[in-house]
Amino acid sequence: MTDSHEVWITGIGVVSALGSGLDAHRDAVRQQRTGLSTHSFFGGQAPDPCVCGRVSQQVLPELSETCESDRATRLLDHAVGQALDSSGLSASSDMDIIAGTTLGNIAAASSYYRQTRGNQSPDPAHFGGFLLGQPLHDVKQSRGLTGRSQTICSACGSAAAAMGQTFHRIGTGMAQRVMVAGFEALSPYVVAGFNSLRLVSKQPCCPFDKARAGLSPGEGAAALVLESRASAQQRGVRPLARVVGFGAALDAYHYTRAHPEGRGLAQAMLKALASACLTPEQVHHLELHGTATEANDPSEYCALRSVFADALAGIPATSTKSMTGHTFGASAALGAVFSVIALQERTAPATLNCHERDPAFVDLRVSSRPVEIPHLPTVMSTSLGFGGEAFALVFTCAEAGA
Amino acid sequence: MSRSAIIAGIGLVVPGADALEGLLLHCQRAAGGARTEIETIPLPSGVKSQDARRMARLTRMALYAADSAWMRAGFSGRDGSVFVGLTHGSTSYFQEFHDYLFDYGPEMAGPNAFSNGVTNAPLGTVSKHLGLTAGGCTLAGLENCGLEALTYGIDTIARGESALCCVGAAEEYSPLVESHYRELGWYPGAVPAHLPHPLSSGAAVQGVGVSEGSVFLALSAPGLGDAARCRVTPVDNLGRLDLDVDLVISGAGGGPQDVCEAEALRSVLGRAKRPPALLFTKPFFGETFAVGSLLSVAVAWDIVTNGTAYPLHPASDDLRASVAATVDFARVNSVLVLAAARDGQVSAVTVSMH
Repeated sequence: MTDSHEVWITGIGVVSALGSGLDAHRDAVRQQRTGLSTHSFFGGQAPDPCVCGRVSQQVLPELSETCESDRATRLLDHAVGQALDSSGLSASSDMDIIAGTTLGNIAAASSYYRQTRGNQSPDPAHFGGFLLGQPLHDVKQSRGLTGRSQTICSACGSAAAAMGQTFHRIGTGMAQRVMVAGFEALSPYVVAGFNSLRLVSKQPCCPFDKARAGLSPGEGAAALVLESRASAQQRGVRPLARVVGFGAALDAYHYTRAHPEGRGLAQAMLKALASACLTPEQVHHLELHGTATEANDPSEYCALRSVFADALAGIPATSTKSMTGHTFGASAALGAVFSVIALQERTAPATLNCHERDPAFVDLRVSSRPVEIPHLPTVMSTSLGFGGEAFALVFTCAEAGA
Repeated sequence: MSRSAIIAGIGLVVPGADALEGLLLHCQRAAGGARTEIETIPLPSGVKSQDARRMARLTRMALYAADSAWMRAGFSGRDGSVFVGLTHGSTSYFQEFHDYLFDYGPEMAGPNAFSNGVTNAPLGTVSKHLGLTAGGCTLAGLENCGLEALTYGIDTIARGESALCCVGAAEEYSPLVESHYRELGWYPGAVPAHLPHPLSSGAAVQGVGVSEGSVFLALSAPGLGDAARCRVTPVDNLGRLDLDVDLVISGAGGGPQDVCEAEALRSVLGRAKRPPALLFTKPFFGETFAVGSLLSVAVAWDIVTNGTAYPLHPASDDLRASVAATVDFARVNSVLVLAAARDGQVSAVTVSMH
């Protein structure tokens, strides 16, 4: 990659249970605030009340109870609009947009199917819920974006795959500027689905804690404008941070369970380090997938241990899912936003609810308090997904090489 | 960065054919209309039937097609990456999960229909079965999605991230999906007597019914192996395409994408000094969404490597009849595969012998 193809983050939009916008998320990190609350998805029937990271109508007034069928689109649209504003680009930009999601507007598909079962004439507009690319298409149209759009559905690693694809396109000179996003909306389907796998915690999730008992579902969207250094400098724009490495791998082990030794993730992290030309010792903070499920956290730890070895104990690590919930297809995009915040604040965010670290993760430096890191130029963010997907991204601070 | 790859193996399953060798016969038989469902999805060796029973229908199709492609390429035991294109995903497991959810409540909704119904299940299953660990992802999209996945695979090879890549698409037949499109009048089920000629204006022809299938391609980097191989190259901008193609395979077939397809074809053919011949494959395979464009790639591969002569769909006017009549499949060296989606996005690759 030449210097001119260096990948800069020049715009960010984000909405989650913590609020709307980069500042709201930064404040939440500083205040160690969680966005988790309880919500009823099934009229009070178990697994209600569900502890989850739901975006409130106070945060996003357009999320009324009557718009469940296009909730994902509204979340995505909000984040994309913010990212455009933040980057100083016009809405009629011809840049491509790549987004990751696990289920899109699945609530619309549920509604469509419920109507057909009830011998009602289904609302044809709800059929769009079966087409996972529909929300992005709708947002592209509403925002007047004229480039190509692609939707990646690699489960909980979707946004990471989208970020990686974007990183490569800009890094190889195929594109100068691409909007990348991740989005996910809570719905009865997603809660019932993860509940059927016995992965939903009845308490707020506590990643890497001894008492962890599963994930807290969440929703949100984050959009980032990635741009070549040459393009950004031509516009006179400074970076918020830089993307310097990406790695992807597959466990080839099981379609829902991560490999117990984190085989895929270890490979993805090594690839990301290689593409960033960094050694494990040059990573200063780990923004982890950390879902707080019984099996996922140990798998991730094993992968970290195999890559970072004894250096692991010296690297502050965080899972922000105890703040936002697990936002599934959006989680890596939110992870990128938290990575940028960490770089800007020179602080590893707290892993809320991690009061007693699982002794199995003996040298994993997670803390329920934020950790200041005076010298914090580099963050690695990790993601895992069904299908054995594993991803790692490396970010550096804006000042590095700018 | 040279953006191309070698197609080293093709695996497929559609109603009426479960190998490339069966495609031609299938097309000849299907002249009266494509069939809807695959009668029996074959199992690759090493897959237990009880495991296969748990898989979504499209996952079983993908597994068979991917395994066939990988074995035919002689890649057994070798690592690579995987990219999969889907349009509607596993509607059958979506329905099954909801049936339990609606009838018995969330605590009774079963994990199998959820976990096997997620979009990434075909990719995860193919990765596990073939031992592919070099990364990949699932793309969700419309009629051009298979070519998008193919382009991801080619770029992965071009960047040197992976020497080999397994790329494909899968779509399962769904009465729910079909009824929706039928209501909209898009895919009434009959093969149209005529397809719209791209050089003439006019309304899209309603045609080809909804079907199912899966196609996978085993890709390798150019230069691996010594045999003359068939190369596939993405086309980013049709306006800049060097029009040295002998044949264009179009994704038109009666659906709402035809308007976009015709526009793309017009731009290609309007610039050609020597108009390439046209072939429409959807009347033979039905509308398989993400899979359709990769079926076109499979046909293109068969034509350029074997000179196989595929039947041409009845022409709608003299102009196309005259174009079609000039096809000498034995001389076709380069094919443009075009797939326009109903949202207006167009994807294209060239398939050629080098």
